[in-house]
Amino acid sequence: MARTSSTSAAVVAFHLRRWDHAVGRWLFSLGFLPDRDASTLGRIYAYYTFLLGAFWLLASWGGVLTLTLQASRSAPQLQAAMRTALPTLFGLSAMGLAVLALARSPITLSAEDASYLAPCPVPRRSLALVRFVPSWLGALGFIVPLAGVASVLASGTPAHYLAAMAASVPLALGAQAFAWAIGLRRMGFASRARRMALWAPPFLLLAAIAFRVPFALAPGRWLTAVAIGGRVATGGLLAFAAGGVALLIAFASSYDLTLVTDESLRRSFLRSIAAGRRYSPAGAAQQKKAAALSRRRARFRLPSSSGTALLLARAAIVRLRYPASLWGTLRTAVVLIGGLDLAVLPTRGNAWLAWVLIVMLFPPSALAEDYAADARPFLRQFLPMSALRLAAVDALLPAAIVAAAGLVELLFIPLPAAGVLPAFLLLMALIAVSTVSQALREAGPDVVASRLPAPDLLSAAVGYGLFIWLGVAEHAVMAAAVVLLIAAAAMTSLLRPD
Amino acid sequence: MLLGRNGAGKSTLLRCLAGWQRIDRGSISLGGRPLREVQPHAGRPVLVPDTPSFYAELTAWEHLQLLGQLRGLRGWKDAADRLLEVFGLTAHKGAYPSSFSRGMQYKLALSIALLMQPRVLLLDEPFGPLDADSATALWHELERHARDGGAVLIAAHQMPEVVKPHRFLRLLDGHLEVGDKPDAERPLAPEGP
Repeated sequence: MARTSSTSAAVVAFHLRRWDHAVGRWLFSLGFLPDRDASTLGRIYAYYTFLLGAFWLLASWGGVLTLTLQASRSAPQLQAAMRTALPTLFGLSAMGLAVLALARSPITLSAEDASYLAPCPVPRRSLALVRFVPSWLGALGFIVPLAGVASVLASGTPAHYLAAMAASVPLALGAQAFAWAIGLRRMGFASRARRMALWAPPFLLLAAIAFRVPFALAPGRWLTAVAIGGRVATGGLLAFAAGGVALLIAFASSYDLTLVTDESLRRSFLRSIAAGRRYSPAGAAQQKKAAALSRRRARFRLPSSSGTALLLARAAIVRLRYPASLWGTLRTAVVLIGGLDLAVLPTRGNAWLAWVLIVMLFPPSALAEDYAADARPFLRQFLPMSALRLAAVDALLPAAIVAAAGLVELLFIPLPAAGVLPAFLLLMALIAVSTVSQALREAGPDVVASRLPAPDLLSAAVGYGLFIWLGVAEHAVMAAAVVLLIAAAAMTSLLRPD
Repeated sequence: MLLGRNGAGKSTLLRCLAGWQRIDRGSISLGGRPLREVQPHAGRPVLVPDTPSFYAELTAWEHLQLLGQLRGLRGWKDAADRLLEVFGLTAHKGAYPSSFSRGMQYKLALSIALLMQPRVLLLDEPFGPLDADSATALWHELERHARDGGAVLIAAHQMPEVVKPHRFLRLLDGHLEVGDKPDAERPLAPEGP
């Protein structure tokens, strides 16, 4: 017993130190806290920025309340609507928290935790309860301000919002504790059927809310009463919080740390893929696909053809087996067709700047997704065609999808009939430039026959620069299409003709 | 057999020989031709790295099918079936490689590489992820490949008993020593104390 309590104390101390470090790091990175070696002037500046930030936060909160009050007073029907809706909204929020706790393990272990913490004889209950606190504080960060806003909206006066915010604290505690309790219980079942069965409570809650069952709406009604200056159901609020916490404590040691570790490592792997998206979007997509497909059965079969036909069949099959990859193609279509619209429709000001930002954030990587898989050296050494031909064949299917979407869009926008063909040619030129720059990005420095630094970025900058100059600024659609096609052809020489 | 300490540059040498990595100095020739002039799919050494990559959406068998058909290999089906049988992957040929263990992934990579019948085959740490039976099976396949006129260069720390290389190369401080047996004075993998 003494040993368990000392281990629990160690778990708490470990997490307090970790949170202290995390909070300090965040505040420091935001410029709010000085580092330990900062000069006196540096410290003064850091405290000044911290005070400035706190003032900004309070001023923003005051602004939100003022706007809400004005809205509530100018439209009194909002007050009645909010009073009616608040119990349902709270019930749905509680259900949302439960769904989140069931969709993935409430406790998440980092890779370091999985290596060093999980193998230790850590009391599971202590670990769960310690991890619960920041999640509850996170829920409070949303629920408390919303309760304040809801109070002003429902009462038309700022007299009760502090009471409503205070009342939302035990409600958030109870709701989050109930959610964690069933989430932790789920992580104690290896059987899929039993894990699925735990999805029943949130859906039963949803049904109870839909049928206006008083029990399901009671916590929300207590909050509504406080929000409009009515009676405070202190007993009910405390009982709700205590019930949630009691259930949480009862289930806090019911989870299997191995299942939690397994799920955490899978999520950690997916997060690491997401981090790699900046450097190789198509490569990161390949890794994500592999992780998802490893648990599925293979559907459809490769035909017994060869050459381009076989690669096209593969392109179709991989999209049928993993339809989620079509989202990437759709995103590429939206980005490129959005650019086309800037050229063919009358635009104002510097709208192209927003488009450039979108291209940087969401590069049209779907055009080189298959090529990224082929360009990896182990597989590339067996593929009997040049990098250029391979990139072109691999881009055919996604390019056809983007071109078809563009054609459909061109038929619906107000464009003279004579302008459709040049606009379509411009879209094809944009696709060509994007394919080359993305292929250069995925091919890697060993395949790119250039000593230029970052030839992929250079070719993208030249291609999109020409497009913005001739297409968007000058609206010289046909000229832009021709120049872009010539530029794309010239850029292909950067891909080594092996 | 290419030997050397961790960090001696064995894998880098293999990557350079396969044309995967640029060389800063010197030159690599294959049959009298600069390596850069030899197309990857037409005579360049084939490298099986220690962590080979695969297509996420294709099964083990479809890897062999895709590459066999694209290369126009005659009789690829029988050869692929035989290789999968040799490496114990027949029961898993309909599964995605991402569901394989590291050893099974390596065996699939070996099957693909051997199916292509390269003139020069480079293997990076092939025995590490393989069990004893698979290591023996691999060695017999490599002997078969050598009998058919192929050359094999293996970079390895471990050498199962069945493995009897014809020549030993030791990479030490950037220099290559050649011999017909491992240096008795220095162990194969002289790792620290």
